[in-house]
Amino acid sequence: MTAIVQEKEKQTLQQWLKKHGSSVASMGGLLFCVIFFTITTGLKGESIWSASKLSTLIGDVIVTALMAVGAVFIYSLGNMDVSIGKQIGLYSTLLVLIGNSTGSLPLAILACLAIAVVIGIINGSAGELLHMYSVISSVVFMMVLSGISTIIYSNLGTRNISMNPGIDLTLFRQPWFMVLVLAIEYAVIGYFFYFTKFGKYARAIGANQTATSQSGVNIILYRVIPYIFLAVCLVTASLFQMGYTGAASDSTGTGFEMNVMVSLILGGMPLKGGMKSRLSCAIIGSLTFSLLAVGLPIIGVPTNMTFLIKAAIFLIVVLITCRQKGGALPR
Amino acid sequence: MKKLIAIVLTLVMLLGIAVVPASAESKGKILYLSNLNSGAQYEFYVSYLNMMAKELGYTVEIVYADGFNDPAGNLKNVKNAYTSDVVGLIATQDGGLINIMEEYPDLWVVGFFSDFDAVYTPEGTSAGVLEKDHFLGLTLGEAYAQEVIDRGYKKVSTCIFPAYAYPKHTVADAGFRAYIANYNETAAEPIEIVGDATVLNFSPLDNNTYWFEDGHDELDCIVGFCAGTTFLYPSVLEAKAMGICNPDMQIITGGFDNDPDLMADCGDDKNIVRLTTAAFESIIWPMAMLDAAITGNMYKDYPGNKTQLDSGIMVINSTEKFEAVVNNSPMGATNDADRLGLAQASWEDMKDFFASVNPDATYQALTEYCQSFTVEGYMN
Repeated sequence: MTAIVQEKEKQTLQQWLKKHGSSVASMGGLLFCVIFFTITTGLKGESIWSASKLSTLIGDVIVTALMAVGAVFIYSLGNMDVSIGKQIGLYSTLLVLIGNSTGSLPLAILACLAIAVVIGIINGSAGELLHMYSVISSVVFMMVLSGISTIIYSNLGTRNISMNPGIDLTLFRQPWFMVLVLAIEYAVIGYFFYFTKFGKYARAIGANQTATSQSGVNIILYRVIPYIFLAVCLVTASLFQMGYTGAASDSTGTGFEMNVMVSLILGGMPLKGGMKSRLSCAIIGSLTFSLLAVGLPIIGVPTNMTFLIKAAIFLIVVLITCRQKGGALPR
Repeated sequence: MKKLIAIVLTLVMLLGIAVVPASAESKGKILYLSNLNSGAQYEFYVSYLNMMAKELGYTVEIVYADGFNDPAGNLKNVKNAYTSDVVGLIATQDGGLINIMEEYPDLWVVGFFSDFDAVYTPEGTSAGVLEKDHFLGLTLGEAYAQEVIDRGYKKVSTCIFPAYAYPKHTVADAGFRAYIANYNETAAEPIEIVGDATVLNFSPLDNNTYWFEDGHDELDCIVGFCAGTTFLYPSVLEAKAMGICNPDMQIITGGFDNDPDLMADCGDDKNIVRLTTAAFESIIWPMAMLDAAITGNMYKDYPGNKTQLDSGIMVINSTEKFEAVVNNSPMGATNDADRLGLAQASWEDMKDFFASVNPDATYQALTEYCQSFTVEGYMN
């Protein structure tokens, strides 16, 4: 009898691990980083949990986390958006320009939201309407936004623009405010992702679009809505990106789409999307990514080596993920 | 599960032990925000800084500047590298410098090594740093001689980077044109500058269009105020191979590249006839200024903060000079010992210019010393 119970428990554990293996691995990675850097920074006479380093960590993680939370919706579709970085750059620039010219930050935010939603609608629907991978439309946007940015800065005659000192941005540099906004965004997006049909259909489309379509789901509509969620998250992230220095430049946001992708993958996000997509991937991955960025220099790892270590970790995770049965890259 | 936790904790402990132990007692750490991350110049600056820091009792940590000089990127990189023992920063980019100085008001900062005249001057994009008490100044290298006239070119054109990014290129181009115009007033055979300056948006010269524009296929020379070794030279080589430009055309430009093939193509009768670059050893200046400020031994004749300094200029415009740079300068070296050995100044040569070492050292002497390094120094 005892043997049967033990065997059953073993099977249950195996099933649980099979189901949650990815979560355990990503959470384990984060836990490992936390323990590792707590011990090793102590050996160097520093602490990664000191007020200044904690502030640096939160400042490092906030923009990536805000973007990644929104991007989970897109990755759950099995899609990816490579225009994220350029969108952040454009919104940061517009926040400064409109903020300076009108003296109103809320007005600038509204303008950015309007543009972001339009881009989201086009990005989300183009793939389905034009029968192409959604990533193609985001590539087009990446190039168009890059061109717009070049034109703006060429006309301004500078590479950097700063927000008028009259507009107070200190709130966006406060760690407590960063955490609060991230928590609110996580709660709101989490609600839509887990408890409404928007999230369920998005994951269903990622798992099997044909079956979802044959179930009567409007594919175009439920592909567009995740991009609108992402648009709102990107404008929020832009606020913190611009608020960090009170400035924007022609290169703001460059490479951010890769940061999002790396963070999500480190967080255990399935590359092919689907029902196993989890919002926590965004937070776990962003934190792990930033812990490496902040922790490695403290323990004396040369900067060029930190790139190498982060790249090696990313490569390992991608290799493991892509070698799984049915593994596929986002499209 | 217990086994798993035990394995994780053991791994953490082992890796923790493997981490480099805390450094010996030092005066603190100096961050070098580098706009380069590879190449002969980068290797030399790192070696030279480390040598000076070791002699003075500091440590140096390289922080890679944002590839696009983005303020937030530079601030983030410095913040990530910042530890409690950091006492100084040598910045080769201006993006985010104001924010860095606001974040760390006690940090001593020196700007160095770039076209910063336009950004640190009162009208520049980073003029705010001039308001900071802890900003010491910068070195700057720029020299454009009358090479075109001396070499007898009759049809030339110019290339620059966008004015919003490198305003000094536009100024240099205007100066070049004015100088040639002045020469043409009395010249028996005037020099023609074909068209306006071609603006390279950080991409190579476009062979699909450039040579088909009026007069470009007959050019004797391209004057590149931009980094011509990267953005002009490969395109010119390709154009010559395709036969769409003057086969005898040559390049005058700035920058340095120790690529063996490129260096072999530099000289009086080669594709590149002149390279102009800041003297490599001029990095002594920011280190000396930082040390003086950190140790509280500021030069008695220091005219105040926010000074600017033009470094010595390396004008490499003959086969002998190119050979000297390749064979006798740190740019041709492959290891730290050779780099330091081939530099024009050893620690013994320079130490008396450091205020913390020599209480009688003067700012005037330091600046003159840093401006004295020329390519001829490698020929002696």
